[in-house]
Amino acid sequence: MSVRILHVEDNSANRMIVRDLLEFEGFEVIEVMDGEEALPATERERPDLILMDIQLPRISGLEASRRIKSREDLRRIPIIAVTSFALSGDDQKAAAVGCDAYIAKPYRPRELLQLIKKLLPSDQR
Amino acid sequence: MDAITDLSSRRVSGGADAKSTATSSAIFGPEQRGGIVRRYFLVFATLVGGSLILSLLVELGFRYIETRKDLETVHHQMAELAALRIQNYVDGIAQELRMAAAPPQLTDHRLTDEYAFNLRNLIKDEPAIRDVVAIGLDGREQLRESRIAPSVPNAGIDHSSELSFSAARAGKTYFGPVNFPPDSLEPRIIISVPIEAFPGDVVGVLAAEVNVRYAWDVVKGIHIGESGYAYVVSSAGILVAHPDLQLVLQHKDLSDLPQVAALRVPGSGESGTGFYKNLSGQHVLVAYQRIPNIGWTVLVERPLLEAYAPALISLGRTGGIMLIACILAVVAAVRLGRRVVSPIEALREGAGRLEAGDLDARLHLNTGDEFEELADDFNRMAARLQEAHAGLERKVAERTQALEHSLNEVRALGDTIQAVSASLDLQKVLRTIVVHATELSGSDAGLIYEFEENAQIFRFRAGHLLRPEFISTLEAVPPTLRNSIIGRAAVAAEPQNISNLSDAGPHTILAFNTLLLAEGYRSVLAIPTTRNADLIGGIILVRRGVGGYSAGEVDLLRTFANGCSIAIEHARLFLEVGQKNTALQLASQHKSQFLASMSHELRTPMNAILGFTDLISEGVYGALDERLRKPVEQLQINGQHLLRLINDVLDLAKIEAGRLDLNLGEYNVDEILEALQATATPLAQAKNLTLHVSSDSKIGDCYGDSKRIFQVLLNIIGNAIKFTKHGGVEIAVAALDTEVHYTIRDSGVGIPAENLMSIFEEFGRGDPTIAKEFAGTGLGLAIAKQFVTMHGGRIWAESKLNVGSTFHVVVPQRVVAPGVSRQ
Repeated sequence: MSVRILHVEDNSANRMIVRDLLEFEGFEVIEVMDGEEALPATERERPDLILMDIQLPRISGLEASRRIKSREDLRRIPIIAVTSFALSGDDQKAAAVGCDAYIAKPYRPRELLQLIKKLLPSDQR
Repeated sequence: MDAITDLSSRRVSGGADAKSTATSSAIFGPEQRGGIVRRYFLVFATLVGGSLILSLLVELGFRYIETRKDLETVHHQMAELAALRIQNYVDGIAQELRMAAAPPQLTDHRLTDEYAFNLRNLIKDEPAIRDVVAIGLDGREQLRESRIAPSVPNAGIDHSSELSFSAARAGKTYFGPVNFPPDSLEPRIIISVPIEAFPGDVVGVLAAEVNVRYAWDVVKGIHIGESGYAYVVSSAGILVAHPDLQLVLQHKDLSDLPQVAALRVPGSGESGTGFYKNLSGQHVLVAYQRIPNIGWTVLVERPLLEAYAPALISLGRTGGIMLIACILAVVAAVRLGRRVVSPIEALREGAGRLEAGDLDARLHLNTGDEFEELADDFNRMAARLQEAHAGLERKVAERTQALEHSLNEVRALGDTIQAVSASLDLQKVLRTIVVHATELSGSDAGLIYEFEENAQIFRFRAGHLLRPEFISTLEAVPPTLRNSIIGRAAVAAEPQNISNLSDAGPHTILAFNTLLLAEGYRSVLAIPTTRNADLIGGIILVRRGVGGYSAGEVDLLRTFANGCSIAIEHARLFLEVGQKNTALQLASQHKSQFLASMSHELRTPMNAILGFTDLISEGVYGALDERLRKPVEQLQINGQHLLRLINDVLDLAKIEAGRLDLNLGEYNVDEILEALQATATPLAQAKNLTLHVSSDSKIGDCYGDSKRIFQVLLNIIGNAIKFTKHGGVEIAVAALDTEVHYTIRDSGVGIPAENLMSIFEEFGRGDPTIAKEFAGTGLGLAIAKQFVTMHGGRIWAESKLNVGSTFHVVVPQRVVAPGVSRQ
């Protein structure tokens, strides 16, 4: 069974890059386009890792992360916060709601891949 | 000629008068009273008394000299007479002895009985002779006749060694010294004469002891004045004769007495006079005369007082007369002085009273002379002074009042100006102006209107002493240019001054005036306020009384109107500036926010562009066609450059917005250098340049934002590599007190001197032509400078064209308080 990654992102180009990269690397990618869909998708799909954009329409990525991390059964799923708004404090805010890592746009695809592999349990890498 | 001399002398004397007047005010102080009296007295006393005293002294001198001469003459004659009498007496006895010594009976060189008889007769005839002895040439007594003892020659006595014998044997008459035999109290002398058989043939000596008590008789008979006396001393200073016999009997030795001692001084004359003290200590006049043969001296003494008594009495009389003359002179001087001084005193006193401010002071002198004229002059002067003073006081009072009024005006204006300049609150300023204008002009109320250009009406802005209901009315009915007095004033550009509103006139048709009249005001003054020919508004002042306003008041109130217009204009300007300022601040804020959000919005597509390019070049979409490799590479390079530009803009925007903080922490310089070397070496190698990094082991632990310092240094190194074609780049670090000094030296194209400062400004790249050749954002150094400044450090560059550049970065080893990027 391949590793499944939930990508929460409203920008279709970015969704496409991540999907192309991760599928190329052998991961399965599930995509939702806003924060409100993030929690139901997580419940439904039970991904191995969540890539959460912070700037999202309706519910922000931070709020979505907070909700997921407040659920006992979902808490263990690692979340990588992705932001393009690189003002100081974004990393702290992400850490505060329970995110496990943080990456700023624009990132090199290789960087993202390394970060994902670092967070996955060793048997799934 | 005479006239001229006269004139000049008068002028001179006038000057002297002025001078003496000037000095007299100083001399005639309270303690100097009667100075003139004293001066007159001194002059009179000197003239009269002095001459009297002088004549007295001259008289005294002459009288003294004459008296002394007379006295000396008289005394000397006395002494001379006494001496002569004594000498005659002694000489007489000596003569008798000679007669007795050489009788015709003396023959055969022997003294016969007859000779003895002769001697006996001698004693009998001459009572002064006590003994007489005839001595042979051998010195032995041959005959002796005595008045008291048996006349037996004492053959045993040898007289040959005695002076009386030897002198007489030589043919001379000898007078021996005075002696006082023990059996008698009377002085004796030995007189010896030679016995000659015939002249020149001495056969013996006849010596007689002679009683010289006669000298006493002589002396006793001399009386000079009341207590003058004479006495005789021997050559040895022994008293021989004196009126006081007792003294003689005591054989008084007077050789210590000065006048006697003086006689024994060699060279003292036969006679003389002098002043000495006598035995009882009295001052005496002394005259002496020597008696040559027997070596005695007669002295005549008389007490000085007694001697000069007549002269003194005469002098006393003269002195008395002169004293009386002196007293008379003094009295005359004082009286004359008083007569002159008392009017002067009166004048002086009057002047003193004038000086003390008593202008009623007048003099009443009835001397009938120049003093009275002077007093009249004085009185006239005092009267004029009094008039002038009264005028002056009136003037001072007037001026004081005027000054006080001006002062009030100035104070009010000052307050107004202060209010205008210090306060931005237009309402407060207008209120200050209307209050001062109303009160200073003594008005019953004041109003300030502002003209509204758009509505063409006057808007009530401030008032003083107005009923609130009236204010409501005024606010409800804003005056226009046509229907109001202020409108008239504005149109005419002249103050409108109405002395009585109830009087019929062109103003009665004005609606606004009927409002004022209804409120009980009669006098109105309306002054338009303009600024640069623009109508701003106006001031209206009203009084319940009729009469209008004076020209002075209008002028004063014009000043207030002027202040009013300045205040309104100020307020308008401030309002405008305030609005502009707010807009500017907002714009600046917008700019920062815009930049921040723009950079964010740019990053999302950039992520896609770079992401896809990366995926393509990594072969995610299948093996890359060889023809596509170059374009994709260019896509990557330019995409990365665009990203850097966006990041830099974001950094600057954050710094400007004050939202970028230093992330302070402990760090090590060597770590930064290692990271720099690792990052920059590939860049240098790509251009075939050397990269040399040297460290300084002395630098200890540092505190600051290592990431930002790294960013700054990498930026500079990146530039250095970028602008260098040959050679290399050297990076060095050194400790500098409490600072760390980084040096980045390259052998590149260099920077023109005029650009060395601007390179640290945003988009301030050294040379546009160079900038084209070397790609860069143009923000790197500006950001570097911001970070260094935030660390409290310095950054600068040195350069030589075509030789190379050196950049210096100095940051504190331990940052104390991170600075703000821009003020």
